Amino acid sequence: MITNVSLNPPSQTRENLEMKKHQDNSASVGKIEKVDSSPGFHKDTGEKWGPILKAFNPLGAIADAYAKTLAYKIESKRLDVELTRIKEQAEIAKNVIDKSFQLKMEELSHRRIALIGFYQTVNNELHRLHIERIKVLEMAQLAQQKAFENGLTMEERMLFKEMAIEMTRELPRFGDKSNESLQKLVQALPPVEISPKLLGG
Amino acid sequence: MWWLIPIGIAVGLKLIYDSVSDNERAARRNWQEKRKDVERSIEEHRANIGKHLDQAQSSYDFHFLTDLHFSSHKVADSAYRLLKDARCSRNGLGKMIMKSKEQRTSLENQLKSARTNNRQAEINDIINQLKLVNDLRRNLFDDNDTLKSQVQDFMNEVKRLNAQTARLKEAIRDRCGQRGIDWYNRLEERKRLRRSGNS
Repeated sequence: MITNVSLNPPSQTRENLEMKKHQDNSASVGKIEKVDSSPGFHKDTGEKWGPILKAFNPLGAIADAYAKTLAYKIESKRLDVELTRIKEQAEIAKNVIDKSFQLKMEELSHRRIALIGFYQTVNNELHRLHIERIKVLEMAQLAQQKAFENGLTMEERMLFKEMAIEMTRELPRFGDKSNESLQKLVQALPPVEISPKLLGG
Repeated sequence: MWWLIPIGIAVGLKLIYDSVSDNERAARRNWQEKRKDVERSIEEHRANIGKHLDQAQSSYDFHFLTDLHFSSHKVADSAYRLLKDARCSRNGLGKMIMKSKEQRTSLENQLKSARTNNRQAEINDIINQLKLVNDLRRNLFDDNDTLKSQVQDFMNEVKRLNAQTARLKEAIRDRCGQRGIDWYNRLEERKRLRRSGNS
């Protein structure tokens, strides 16, 4: 199962992130939330600079402009860190996909080996039943032929007839046994309902 | 001249303010550019991860479904062999029924001849043999009925497994990209060659 990994836009505050997580728990790899265009510095930085810049207002316009310049520079540095974080997060997401894929392929390979072994065993059993069935049929036909040959006592004829009947009665039983083996094979097959997503989601 | 001092200070402050404002504008432009870079980077990574996942999904689907197709095909083969076996038993039984009919006819003819010639001991023996053959025929017909229903069951199972295998084959073609389409085409080509080789 691929673990859910998502990249969030850097502008979102911790609170926004938490809210988003609650709203969409199903966000998965490849479904990274849409990034909105920058609505403005204050909104984008979660209004945190408002009170700080206001504190410098009494010192005049120059101090105000200076404070704003510094705020932009600090936010720019934060965005540099965000870029690195996004890159690393994307790498992690790719690794998760690769590892999940490898794991799934490994599972498939084990299942394939097990199935082939099982198939071989059941097939050998079916082959044995096939040979036995042919033999029994031949014996039944011979017993029938013998039952009506010349020079036999009635008792001997009776015994051959009984043998023929017992032999032919075995034939449907062979079918039942073969069917049991076939059903074992059918049950060993993984479910064939093809779900829309076989991996993750 | 003293009044020139405040003007000088004002002009000086104006120059300082302009310079600071220029710095502020440059810092804002830089921040906006960075913001765009981050947005672009997220979009790119999101697209790359999506593509990576699609590739992994498609590859897994391909292996999963081709494995399943292989197994399903093998099991369908076994079911078909069982069907053939059951048919073979039924044919064998059919031959025995035919044989018993011939035996009965032959005994009936022998009985007619024995009665004509009034050979009592032979008549009794033939009547006993006729009872025997009729009993055998009853049993053969019963077993034949059981085998008939078994053949039908196997036929249904073969049809079900074949339909399942066909469905998997189509799923591989439709869900696994170009690799799935190529696999499907190769399979169909092999089937076509086999058919033309057999005909």
